[in-house]
Amino acid sequence: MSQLLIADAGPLFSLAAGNLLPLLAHFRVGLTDIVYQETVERGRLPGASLEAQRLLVYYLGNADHITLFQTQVGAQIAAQRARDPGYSTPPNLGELSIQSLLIELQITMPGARPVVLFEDGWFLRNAVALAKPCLLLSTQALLEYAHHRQWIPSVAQARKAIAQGRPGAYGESVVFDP
Amino acid sequence: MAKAKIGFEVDEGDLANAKAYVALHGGSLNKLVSALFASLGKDDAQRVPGPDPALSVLMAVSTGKMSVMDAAQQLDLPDAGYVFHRLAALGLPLPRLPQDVVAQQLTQARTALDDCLLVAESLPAPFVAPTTAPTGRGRKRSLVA
Repeated sequence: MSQLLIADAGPLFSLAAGNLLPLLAHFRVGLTDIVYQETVERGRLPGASLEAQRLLVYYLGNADHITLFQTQVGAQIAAQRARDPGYSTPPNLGELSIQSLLIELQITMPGARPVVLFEDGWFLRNAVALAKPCLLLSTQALLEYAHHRQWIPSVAQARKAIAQGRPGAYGESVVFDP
Repeated sequence: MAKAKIGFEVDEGDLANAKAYVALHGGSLNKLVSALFASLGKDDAQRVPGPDPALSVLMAVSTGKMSVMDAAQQLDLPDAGYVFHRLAALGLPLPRLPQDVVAQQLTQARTALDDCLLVAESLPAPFVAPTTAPTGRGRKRSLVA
């Protein structure tokens, strides 16, 4: 059965920083409304970082394989913002929206076994409370997987590219599949 | 005054904090530790000052205590990409999970991850998740001051 890789915002920005977003083009990806707003939408704004711009380019180029999900958390936040434009969003909103999606998938797609790509320790700290069955995968683990698939020459090089986080750093580090 | 050499272990997160402090204020880890030792027993006001709030946020990211998204919000940055820029500018490392945790994740998620692929691909060789742990959050690293 086809499954979804549900990405949180942190890994998306990390992969963008290392110019590694093409790795995600191998997968069916799911984004919650909140994560989409925190990442892709930011790329449309004036003064967007290079990473946010890359996320927008990635989304536009791969939209056919990316599913956007409306979540209850997203709907609640939208309603709050409509009532109060100055509403300050609580922390860990992207993570909460993913948790909301996982609960919904448990009902609407009982056979689904989504993989959640995360970076924030929030997911590890709250793993027991997440709807099952879902699998947690860190950016590090994804890079190990990509290396084994021979999509990238080395995990260390990829991590270095992410850490440098500067325009143009290790721009050629990803080996694209033909 | 004669100099003495000492060696001790320090948490990696604390080491990252110290490096960030030195990057921002100048000097060296050697001088920072010496100043801290020299300040012991003196009034709090004379002690080494703490880092500014923005640096504290970045250090929290660097030590895995805060997400880049929340850091961007707290630092009032347009998006999280700028958090990476600031971390890089200060020479702060990114957090990483212990390798055994990463290996366990891969073992558990590999089949499901295969099912997420757009095009089924055969793996080039039998998959063996790495289990060696070079460094990890919370591990000790030796520091000679």
